[in-house]
Amino acid sequence: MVELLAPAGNLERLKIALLYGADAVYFGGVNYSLRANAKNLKIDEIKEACDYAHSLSKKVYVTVNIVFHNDDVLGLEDYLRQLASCGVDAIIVSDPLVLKMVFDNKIDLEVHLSTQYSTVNYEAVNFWKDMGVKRIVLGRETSKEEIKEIIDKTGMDVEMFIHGAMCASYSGRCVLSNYFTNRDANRGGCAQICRWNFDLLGDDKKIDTKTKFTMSSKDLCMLEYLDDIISLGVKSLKVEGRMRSVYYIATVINVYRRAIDEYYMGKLTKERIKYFRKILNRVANRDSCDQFFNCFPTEREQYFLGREEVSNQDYLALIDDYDGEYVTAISKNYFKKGDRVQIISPKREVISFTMPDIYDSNGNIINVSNHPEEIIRFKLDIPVERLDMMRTSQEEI
Amino acid sequence: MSKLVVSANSKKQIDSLLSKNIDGVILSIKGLAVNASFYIDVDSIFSIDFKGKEVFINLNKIMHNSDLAYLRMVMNKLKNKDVKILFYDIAVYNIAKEYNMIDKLIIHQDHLNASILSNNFYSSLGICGSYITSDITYKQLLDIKKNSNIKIMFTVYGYEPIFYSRRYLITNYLKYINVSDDSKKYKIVSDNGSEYPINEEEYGTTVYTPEVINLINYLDEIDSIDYFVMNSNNIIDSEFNKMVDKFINREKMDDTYIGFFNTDTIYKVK
Repeated sequence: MVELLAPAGNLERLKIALLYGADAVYFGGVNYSLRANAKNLKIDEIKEACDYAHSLSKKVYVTVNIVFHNDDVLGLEDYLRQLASCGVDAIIVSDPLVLKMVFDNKIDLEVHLSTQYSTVNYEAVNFWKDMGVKRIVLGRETSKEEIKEIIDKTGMDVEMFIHGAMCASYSGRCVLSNYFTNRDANRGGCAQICRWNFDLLGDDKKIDTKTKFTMSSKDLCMLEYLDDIISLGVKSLKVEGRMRSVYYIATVINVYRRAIDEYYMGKLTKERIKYFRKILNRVANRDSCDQFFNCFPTEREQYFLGREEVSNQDYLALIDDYDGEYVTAISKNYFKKGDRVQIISPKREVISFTMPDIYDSNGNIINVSNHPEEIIRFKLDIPVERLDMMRTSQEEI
Repeated sequence: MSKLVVSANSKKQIDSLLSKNIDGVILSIKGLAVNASFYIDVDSIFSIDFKGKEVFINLNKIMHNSDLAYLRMVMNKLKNKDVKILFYDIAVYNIAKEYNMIDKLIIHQDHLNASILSNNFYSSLGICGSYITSDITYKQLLDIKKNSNIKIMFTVYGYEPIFYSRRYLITNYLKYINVSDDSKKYKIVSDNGSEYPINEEEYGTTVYTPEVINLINYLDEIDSIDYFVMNSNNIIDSEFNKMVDKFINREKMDDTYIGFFNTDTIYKVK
C-alpha cells in the first residue's frame, strides 16, 4: 500500500498527523533543516517522536536538507549519530556531503534524496541508487509520463509531493531571499520572494500599470489523480506544510487517508472525490491544481492578483475529553450557543449538531467562546474522543 | 595565477575574445544548457579555431528524460575532444562514466555546492573541477580551494542567475493581462526600486542579480582560484569586451558590486 507522508512542524502536529491517518511523518531538527521558522524538534523530542510513531507501526523521517557552508558542518556527524540512536527511519538530504558522512562513518541511517536536488530523470535516479540512496523525492516539475519512465527504468522507491505549496523555481535553484533579505534560501531562510509583487519592465517601460507581475504558482492538489499516481508505482505521497496548523494537517491528512483507503477498497467514486475536494478547498487559503503532472503549466497555474490568502476560522475547538455526557474542549476560534458545528475524527464520519449551552471550566454558563485556548464544556450525547476537532458546519458540502 | 575564462554573446564575439589574452572560453550547447545568451550546436564547435585556449562546454540544464538521448549523442561527440564539460545534472556524470570521460567534468550547480565536504564528495567521483556558487564569502571560497584537490572556477564578473524556473513566467503574465509585447530586455522592479534582469528562453525563466558582480578589485585576494569566469550574459558586447581587457590588466575600478563576497548570508532566522 502506498505511504501517506505528512509534515510535522512540532510534536503536537506529529501526533495529530499520525492519528489522523499518516503512515509516516517528516520534520526538521533544530539544525540543518530548510524550515528555519518552523519550531523543529530537539533530540529528546525526536526520540519521543520515533517512539510514538513506532508504537503505531509508523515511520519518522528527518530533514537534514540545507545546502551546507563550511562552518555548518560542525557537529553534523554527532547529530547524525544521535538521529540513528533515536531510531529515525530515514533522513532526507539535499547536500551529498551528508550522504558521504553517513556512509563513510557507517552511521545506521537510511538516506532519501530531497526534492531540493531537482531529480527529474532516470539517469540521475540510477546514479543515486548506485550511491546507496534508498528513495528519491522527485522534482515537482515531473510529468506523469516522466514519473512512470523513471520508476520503470530504475525500480527506485519514488516519493512525490501531492499537496501543498510549490516553489515557483526548480527547488534549490532560487536564492531570491539571499538577495532581497540576506536570508539564505537554501539554509532555511526562504522569505517567499516569488510571492511578492513586482513591476515588469520591457525595454525599460512598465508593461502594465494595473496588474503586478509575480512568479507565484498556485498550490498543488493531486486528489483527483490518486488512482493514476498509485498505478504508476509511486511509493510515498507527500503533503507539504511543516508550518501549517494542526487543523490544516488533520483535515488534509484525514481526507487523503480516506481517499487512499477508499481507492484500495474500490470505493473512491467521482462523487467521493468531489466531496473530499470541497473539504480540501475549505481548509486551503490558496487555489490549487495539478501543476506539471498532466500538462505543462500556463498562466492558469499562477497567481497574478497578489496575496489573497485568508486565514481560516473554521477550527473552533480541540476536544480534550469526553466523560460520556460532557465534552471538554480547548477553544480555538469564536463560536456561540446555537451555531451549527461539526466534529471530525480520525476514526468516524463527521458529526453535525447545534451547539448547546456552553460552560466555562468552573461550570458557569458562558454560551459564547471568544478566548482562544479557553477550556469550555458542553453536553453531547454522541461519543467523541480526545484530539477530535470541532469546526464550523460544512453541511452544505 | 588564475586563468581567465569568458563566455560570449555570439560566434562573432567568441572570435573577437579569442584574440585577447584570455585562457579559455565557455560555450553553451543548444538544448542542453540554460542561462546563456548564445547557444551553439556541438558540431559547430569543432570548426572554431580556439587558438590553443581551453574550451569549456556548458551542459548545465536540469535534464528531463526526454533530454537524455540527445545528451548522450552530444557527449559521445565530445568524449575524444580536448574539452572540459560544465554540468548541473548528475545524469551527465552517469553518462560520462559510461563513456569513460569523467575526468572532463566540472560540477556547476549554481547554488547547491557550497562547502569543502560537498566538493570532496564530487572530487571522490573523479571529476576534475567545481564551479563554485557566488552565494558564499571569499574566505569560504578560499577554504574550499585550500581543502579540495580539484580545480575551482568562480565568477568574477557577470550577472549571476538567482532564480530559475521551468515555467514561462513572462509569457504567462503577458497572457494573463492580455498584452502582446516584443521587448528585447525585461526587468522586474521591487517596491524599493531595485531592478533585476529577467530572461525567458526555451527551457524556462531566469532572474539575475540586480547588478553585475564585479570582483576586479579583489582578484589578488583569490588568486589561488584556478579559473576566474567572466559571464557575458545580459551585457552588450562592447562593454563586455572592454571589461575583459580591464580584467586581463587587473585595473582597479570604483563602485563595484560584489554580492556576498564579503558578507555571509543569514543562516538561522530567529
